[in-house]
Amino acid sequence: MPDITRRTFLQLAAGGSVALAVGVGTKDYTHLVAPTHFSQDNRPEVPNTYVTTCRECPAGCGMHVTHANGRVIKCEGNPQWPINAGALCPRGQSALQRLYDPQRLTQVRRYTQPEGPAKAETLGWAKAMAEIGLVLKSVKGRVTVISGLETGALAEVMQAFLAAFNSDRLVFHEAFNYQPLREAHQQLFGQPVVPHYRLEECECVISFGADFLESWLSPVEFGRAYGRMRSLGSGPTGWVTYVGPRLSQTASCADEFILTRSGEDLCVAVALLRSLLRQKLTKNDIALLAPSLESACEKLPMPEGLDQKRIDELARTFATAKASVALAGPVAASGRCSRHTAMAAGLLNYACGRIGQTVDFAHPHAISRTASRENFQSVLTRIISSDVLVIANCNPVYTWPSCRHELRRADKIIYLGCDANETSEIADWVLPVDSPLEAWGDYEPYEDFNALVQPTMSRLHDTWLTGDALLALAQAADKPLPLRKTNKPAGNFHDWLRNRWDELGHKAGADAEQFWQDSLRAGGLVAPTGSSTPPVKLVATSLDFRISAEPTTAPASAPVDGPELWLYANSLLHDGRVANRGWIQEIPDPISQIVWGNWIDIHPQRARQLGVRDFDVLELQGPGGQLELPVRLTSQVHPDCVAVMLGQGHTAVGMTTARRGANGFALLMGGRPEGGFGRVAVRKMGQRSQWIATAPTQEQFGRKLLQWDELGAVQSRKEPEEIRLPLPEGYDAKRDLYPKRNYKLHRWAMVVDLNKCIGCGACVAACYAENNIAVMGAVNCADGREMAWLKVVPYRRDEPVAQPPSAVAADDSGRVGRASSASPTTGAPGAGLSESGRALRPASRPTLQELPRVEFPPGAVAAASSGHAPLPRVGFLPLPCQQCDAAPCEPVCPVFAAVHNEEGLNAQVYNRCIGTRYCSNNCPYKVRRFNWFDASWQPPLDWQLNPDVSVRCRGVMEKCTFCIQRIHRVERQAKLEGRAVRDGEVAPACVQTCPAGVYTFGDLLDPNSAVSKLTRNDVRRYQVLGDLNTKPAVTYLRKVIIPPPTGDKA
Amino acid sequence: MTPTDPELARKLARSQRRWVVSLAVTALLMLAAAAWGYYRYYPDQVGPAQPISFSHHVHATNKQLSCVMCHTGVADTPRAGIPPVETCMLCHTQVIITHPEIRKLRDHFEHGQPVQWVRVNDLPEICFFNHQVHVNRGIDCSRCHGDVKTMDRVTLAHKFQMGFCIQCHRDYNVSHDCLTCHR
Repeated sequence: MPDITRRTFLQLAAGGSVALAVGVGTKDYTHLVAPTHFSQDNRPEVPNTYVTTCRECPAGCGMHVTHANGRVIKCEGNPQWPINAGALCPRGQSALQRLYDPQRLTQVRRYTQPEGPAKAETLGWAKAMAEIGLVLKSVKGRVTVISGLETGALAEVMQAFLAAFNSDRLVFHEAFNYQPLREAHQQLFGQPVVPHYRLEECECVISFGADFLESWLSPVEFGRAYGRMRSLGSGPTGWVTYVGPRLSQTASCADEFILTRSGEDLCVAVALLRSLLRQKLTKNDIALLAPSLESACEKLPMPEGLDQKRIDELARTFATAKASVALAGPVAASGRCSRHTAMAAGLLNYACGRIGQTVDFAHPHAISRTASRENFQSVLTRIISSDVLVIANCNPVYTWPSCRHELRRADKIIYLGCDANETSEIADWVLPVDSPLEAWGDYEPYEDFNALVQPTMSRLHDTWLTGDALLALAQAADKPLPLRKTNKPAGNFHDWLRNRWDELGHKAGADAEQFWQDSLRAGGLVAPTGSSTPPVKLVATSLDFRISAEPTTAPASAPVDGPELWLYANSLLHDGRVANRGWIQEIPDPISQIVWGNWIDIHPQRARQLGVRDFDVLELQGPGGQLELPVRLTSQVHPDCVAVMLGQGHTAVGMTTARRGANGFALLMGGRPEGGFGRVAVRKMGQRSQWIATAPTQEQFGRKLLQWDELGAVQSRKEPEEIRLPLPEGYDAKRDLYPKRNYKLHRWAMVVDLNKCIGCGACVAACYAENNIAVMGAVNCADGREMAWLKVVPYRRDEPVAQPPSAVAADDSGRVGRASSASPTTGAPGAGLSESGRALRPASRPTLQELPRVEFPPGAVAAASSGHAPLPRVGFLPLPCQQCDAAPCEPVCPVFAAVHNEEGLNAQVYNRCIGTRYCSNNCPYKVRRFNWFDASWQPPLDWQLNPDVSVRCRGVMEKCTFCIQRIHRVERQAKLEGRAVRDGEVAPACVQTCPAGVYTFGDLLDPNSAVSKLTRNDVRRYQVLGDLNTKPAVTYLRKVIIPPPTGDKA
Repeated sequence: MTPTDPELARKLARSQRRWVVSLAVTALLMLAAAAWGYYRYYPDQVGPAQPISFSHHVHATNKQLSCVMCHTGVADTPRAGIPPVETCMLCHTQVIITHPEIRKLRDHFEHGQPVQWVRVNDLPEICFFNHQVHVNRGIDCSRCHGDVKTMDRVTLAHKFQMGFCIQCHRDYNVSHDCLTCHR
């Protein structure tokens, strides 16, 4: 340390004083600014709630948007809306990060040279409207509107807009358009729609590559249904079979995972159909199709490890269940094989009489209105140099990269959107429109489900409604659009919307104003008009099922044995429209736990052939393009398959996302492949690139963090296993070092039902939003400095014997994992952590290469006790702070910053904390997070901060508080009303938003509370690392392994 | 011209001295009276100058207005709330319309320009205080804010340091949980 002279000291002191005096880094709190007028909606620190509809994907979930001090701070599900009933996925919750996106489009811009270095000019709305009006007036070609999926008033405006210019080229472009499904239904039933799948009452679900719990159609709705299916005790437990080439989040939640090549799911589906016919289990006659089924079965290979007996059992289960459904995916497929699989799934539903029961064609999904690939392509091809294109709220240049040049053929492109993206880059005019949280609008996810979108806060920037912009453009071109009711030019889009809703009200026989107010309050209206549509009839007479092994559209360089491509979307990124959001990037992918980028999943067998290791960069050459990504070796994909996650690889979507991963859509161009996505050529690039995972392994190292129970054991067990309750009664003077704790009024506790958890990350997003958790970025995540208070970590079931890496490398053919059933560390569940288990815990975060790998062979069936070797299953373990009764973090804090509070929580007092990090070192659950940096929220992202929670500064430890601010709010309310807190009234953010109902929260001192009953009596209960005697207040209920039902009536 | 008679000179000097002394005594007395008056009326001293010279003394003592007449949020929200200008205009469209300060107020109201009051009572960001709970418990405003009724320009009666809060929580035997105020 250099000597400090008296002079230097004085200089520093003086500088410091000046800095203090001028208040460096502090906000100006010296003034109180009150509004000039009364406002009911805006009282300081009183949260308000606005009801609206989520527009982050086509699912159409209802939202309650919380608003504090004039700013939107949180999005939650609308409990009254039938689709999501209070739950919301991570995408929906991040809607406010689109509103506050620092890179949002804020100004009307005109680009003079869209290709090459564009010269942008900022101009006002009025001027832009006048200029574009002139262009539209003199347009010689056609006007085309390409938009994201819209229904209701905005769709009407778009149609009217085009009609004014004598055009009908309106294209709703969605990357995931479920085209195979629609084509299959067209071919089978003459109805080219995606029906409303009702999974609520299902006892058996068979999914052919449809990731219905993460990205397929309406994940929150299906997640809720899954949760209900998994509640033990009432009725039979549901059965889910997943057939596909990759262990997705949905596959890991299934009871049975049939690993197939990407075309072999069709074989399973057809085999099921034939089995139904042979066993005479069909309710609706499909005998007409029997010959084609038989011949298809001859041609199609059965996946390895699957026998006819199991197929017959599954067919019986499917047919005899009270309700069942077959779903066909995947989301982005367009191949012929996907269509055939969808047809087989449709036939399964039809044959077992599920149409009208669980498959509702009377209320088709709005996604049925989107353009097919052929439609979109034909619109693209017909674009000529005198055309004017209006592109609204979608990003075709990203999801269909080859369309860039075809779009650019048009004379002028007018882009209406919220975010800057690849498509806005090629536009001549960029018109910034309102985010859905600022906008009026409506959306009809299913027919007769009319949802309203209303502004939840005043505009942040000089933006317009998309509808208003279109109306103004028509006006500027001297073709004002008349309202249907009055036949006079519509003043604004709101009038148009009211007009439509007045008509709806009239249909419902209600007073228009009352109807409008009621709809605003409820978030919309669901009034199914009954099944007025004619019953669905089978129109297909013969079918030609086949998968072609020979690629027809692959580039010439593709070797014949090039792997099948499998593109998928996870529960966070979806099709990539939400990519520029910190939460979405930082919440790990449910299965791989990778953040801030994507990667290639490849089976070790193929990796060996190619000579690649983890992090080696591979180039995939697809039908229309190529991408380069680092690989992740995993046996969770079929050896004949490479899997790439969609949604990353943006080149123009703001700073958060720039240059993260690669765009999987680039591989999809060209014609329609034979299989799901076609085959790709693989080339090793020689360089290496690190993907960043927040959990380096799925192994448990004998720690039994996530435990499983056989259904039989659960049913026969009378008494639950011993656990040490976090209550005075859990105190034992002989065992406990720390004194007994007594609680005054409450002892908050949580029960996590692992059997329901789908790992979607909704709870994690809710935690980020509620508790002002900082987004740290890729570099810090790589250093293990992510700040998530709650993690949902996937763990494998079979706990292998830890082996040195060399031994594993020598035998990575799948034997390691299967040997584990005989391993000495696998004792009785809950038997406690053995000495060897303790020794197995890695001292520090191990590198990936050091970790043993467990693999399972292809084609095997992951059914538990069906005679097959049990495969390592993956379950999801949500891990918040356990709020231990004997918390290891508390006694080691030298300054009493970690203290026990009166209601049982391990309080972290930020203003006391001096950052020794002893508490984190001593926490066996590793749920404490240290602030290595002063987190910053780039304006206006800081507006999302919850004013009820501190923003922690550098050098402070932080952790889950069970959302103490939400607990206090309820306690205060109860006190003011002079009553006790009701059970279930307190819901931390994670509990509130969980689609599957994993969490139960409540007071353990109240013997009648739900949490108390579960903790005390449920036979599946256990505590994670409970043998450390920490007495955690979070009790887990084991995941249940259901024996495969045989379908025979007992 | 200086007086030559020494007797006269002495006399003059004495009367001058007396004059000076009496002047000084009067000044002192007046000062004392002023100080007495000042501390009598402003025991907590005078607060910072506000953009509009609003007097709590006039409104709460002379006009007998209740605190909640303007600070409406105090009983049912975490914040007492600074009233919007519209509240002032409820009366001041009828009474004292032409006073220059009221004119200023009306200007703010008519132009939708909020008044930026200088903050007097300040709580650090790390503390979460709730007026609703305290007021409903029957804690008088003056317990923390001093006798605002006597203040023309509001001044800080108590420094809001943790000891001040804790003392009261001890007296009333209520929560000492850290999470009550810090989270």
